[in-house]
Amino acid sequence: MQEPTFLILTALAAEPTHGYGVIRTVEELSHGEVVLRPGTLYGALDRLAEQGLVEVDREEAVEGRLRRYYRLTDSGAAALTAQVDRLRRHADAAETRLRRLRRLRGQTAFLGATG
Amino acid sequence: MTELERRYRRLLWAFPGPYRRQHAAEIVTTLLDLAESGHGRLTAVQALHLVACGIRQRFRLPAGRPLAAIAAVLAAIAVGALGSAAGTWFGWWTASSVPSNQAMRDLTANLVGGGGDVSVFPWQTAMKGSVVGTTATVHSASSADRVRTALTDAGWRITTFTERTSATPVDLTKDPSVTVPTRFLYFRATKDGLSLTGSSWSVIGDARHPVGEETEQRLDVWANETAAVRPLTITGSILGAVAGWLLAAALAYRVRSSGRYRRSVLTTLVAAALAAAVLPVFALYRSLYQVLSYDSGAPNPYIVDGPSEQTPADLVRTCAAVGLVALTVALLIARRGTRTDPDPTGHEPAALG
Repeated sequence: MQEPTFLILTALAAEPTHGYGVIRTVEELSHGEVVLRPGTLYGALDRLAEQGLVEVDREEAVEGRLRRYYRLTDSGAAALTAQVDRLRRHADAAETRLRRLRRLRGQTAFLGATG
Repeated sequence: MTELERRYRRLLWAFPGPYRRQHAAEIVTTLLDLAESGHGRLTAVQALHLVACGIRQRFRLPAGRPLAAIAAVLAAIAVGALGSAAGTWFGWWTASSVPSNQAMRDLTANLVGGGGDVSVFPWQTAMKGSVVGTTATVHSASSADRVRTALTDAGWRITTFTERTSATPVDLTKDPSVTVPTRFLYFRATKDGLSLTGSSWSVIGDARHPVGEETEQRLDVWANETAAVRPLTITGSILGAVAGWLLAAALAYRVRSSGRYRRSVLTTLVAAALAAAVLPVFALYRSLYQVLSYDSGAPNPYIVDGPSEQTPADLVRTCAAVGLVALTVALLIARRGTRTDPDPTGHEPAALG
């Protein structure tokens, strides 16, 4: 799963959201690192709808403007959960290895200082 | 509708029709929301990105439909073949046109000194270039000077001229030593992007053997290949392949958004069209190979015999017609379906890739 897809699913996990809402939420979630372009967003939403991971929740027309709200489906939630587990596993593995590296570096520095 | 909204709607024309009908309103809302929320209007780069996304959407196939992918590849191959033939055809428009039948008849008559019937038969080189050939038989001897004059008067520049006289046995079964003098002429000429080749075999009467004089004349004039023929052929096949893919992608989305009955009818029609296309497409690729591998420097515009010559032309035409009818019906059904279909965003779930 690519990062924009992951962030879009995450944005929709809290509550049904319309296009602009997704863009804003993704920007917040990524601390401004990922600003989805409309073309990317709707391409991804279309693909995710095809895969059954998101679906249309409702439509609202305010002042002649149509807003379509999307929500996560059950399989979308399952896919996001699986991805979260995978990312957590990877993050944990990376952290463990980094901790070991820091410990090793610490010992070397200590040996270097005394030897 | 504001000017900005109109501008955004225009950008969405890059997207395929059914997609636009379904998503245009919400995308425009999102773009307007972005413009009003301090993100500013779309920059030129962002607008270009949106157009690129629209074009990419046209190439996309529905997810989890392997048959659609196979159909798209086959359609690209089939329409690519058609495109190459169209490219060759356009390419030859840049070449000189061969003389009219009447002009060829006159030239041949002048070569043999008049009299006798001239038959004219247009044909094509293996590279699909035009050739017009003539044959004539007259009861008089050939004359190298007359041939030269007739060609030069008609504006031809002679590049090769060979004359050979020999003695040919009158009747090999009786007495091989009884011969008559014969003259063989072979010549080539060029004029304004055209090539000409001719040959004649003539029995010349003399005092010792008072046989009837006779000349058989053969003449071919063909258009020289221009620099445009091969590049346009290749361009045509590429454009055709792209068009075939786009057609298949558009159809695949329409099939997907159709009901079960319409979907099976469309799938059957497309499968029939592709099956019927096999033979015509094979013949087209055969001629594409001949166009690309043709030796246009060869002295004679001979046809390269290949399997396409052995494929019955009637069968190819029938298959092509059946395929086109099936495809047309499929397109008509698919087109009628999209106007009335409800929002198909609630698709059946597919496995997560």
